[in-house]
Amino acid sequence: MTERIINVARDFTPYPAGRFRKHGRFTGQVFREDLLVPALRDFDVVLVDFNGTEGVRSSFLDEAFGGLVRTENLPREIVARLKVQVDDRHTALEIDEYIQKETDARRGANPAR
Amino acid sequence: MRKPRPHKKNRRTRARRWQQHISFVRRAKEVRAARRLRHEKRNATRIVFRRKLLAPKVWALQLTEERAAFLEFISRLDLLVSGGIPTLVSFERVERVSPDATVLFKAELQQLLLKHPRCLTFRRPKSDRIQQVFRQVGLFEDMGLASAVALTRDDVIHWEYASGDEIDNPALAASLLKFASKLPDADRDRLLGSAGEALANCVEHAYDFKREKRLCSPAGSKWWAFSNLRDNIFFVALCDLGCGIPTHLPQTHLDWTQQVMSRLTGASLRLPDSALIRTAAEEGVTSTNAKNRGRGLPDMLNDLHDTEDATLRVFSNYGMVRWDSGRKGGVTTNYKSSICGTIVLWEVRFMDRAEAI
Repeated sequence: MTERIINVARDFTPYPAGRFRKHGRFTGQVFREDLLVPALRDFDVVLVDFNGTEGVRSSFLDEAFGGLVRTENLPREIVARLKVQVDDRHTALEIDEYIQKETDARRGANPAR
Repeated sequence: MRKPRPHKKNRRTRARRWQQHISFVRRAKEVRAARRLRHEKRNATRIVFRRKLLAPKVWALQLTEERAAFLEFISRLDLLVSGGIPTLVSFERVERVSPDATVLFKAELQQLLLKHPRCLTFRRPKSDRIQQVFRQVGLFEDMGLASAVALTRDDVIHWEYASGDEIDNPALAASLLKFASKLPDADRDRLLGSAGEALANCVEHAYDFKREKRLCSPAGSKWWAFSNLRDNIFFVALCDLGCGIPTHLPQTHLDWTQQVMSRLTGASLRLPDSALIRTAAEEGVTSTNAKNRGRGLPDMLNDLHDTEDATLRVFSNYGMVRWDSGRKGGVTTNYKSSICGTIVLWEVRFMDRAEAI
């Protein structure tokens, strides 16, 4: 079983913020498209480590993690390979919430999936 | 009786007279040309009177009278310079400047200088403190004035400045962290998180619509930030010259009493700007209506209430709302003049780590 650890502070930036690529270099869309999706496609387990980051908030988290289901349309099995390591329990819950909301919305729109 | 004309003239005499006539005509032409040239030159160097604009004594956004005078100064500056009128701005009588007003002035000045670089000349402030502030925040540099004033004052040397046109939280963080390292870790995380959200709001939404009441607007999604640390108070101001939060929100966001009044009277009620800012922050109302949006300002409020002793102020167009940590609900204020943009201000008061131990 292959595993990839993405250390956000080291591999991306200690201060991620914002949603879309057109608005900055360290936004949720950039993180998702350049690091998260390739890792999920190539590895069995992807661990995203937020230790060392500061000031991570909802716009970045929603676009990076909610966007996996909403924009990338990744199936549930692939998203389930994602694990998050973060000191702040609130952030972990927030990430789960964004993924779950998008999964529910997709299920509501297309119950077969 | 008329004198009879001589029948014959000496050829030489006639030729000589003809030559005299020709030279006279040529000379007359030259004189006329010279006169025309002088006239044209006089018109070309038409004197355009340079207008003198005096900056007010106090630059502040929270004091009603001072705010009105300061914004009137900015408005006149915008009007003159955008109209291409050479203007001399005199800072001689400036005595006190607040960070929120100074960041707004720097933003406006940079845009005016970018679009009309030859229209503006400046006269330095007389006060040593103001000269130091101007040098520390790069205002002298913007104006193209050299400054040899020594930076000695404790209330000046801790001012930091950053600006950009994308969500560049690392750049803002680098500026903030010069002093924010003194903050407790949790407070620093909250402050950086709030600043990141404010930056995202600014770049993603502030420039969606046209700016009101100003002729000069930034070309991109530009932001300016000041930070300052003094006496264990960490202060951050983030400014944009966009359309403002109230312009962005649906003007029809009225509570039920206002809706009833509106239906009874048939008049459309417009909420004051401060009420719209408060609604955006406390209820997360957004113009996009998309899921998980409009959370920037509510996230900032959550961070504020998690911090032990802090204040958040949001100025946008005519309104201002102030929230204090641990106190429910924001205090709204409306002013008669608009800042034509948005400024988000944090003030975090903390104990030194050494003191805390």
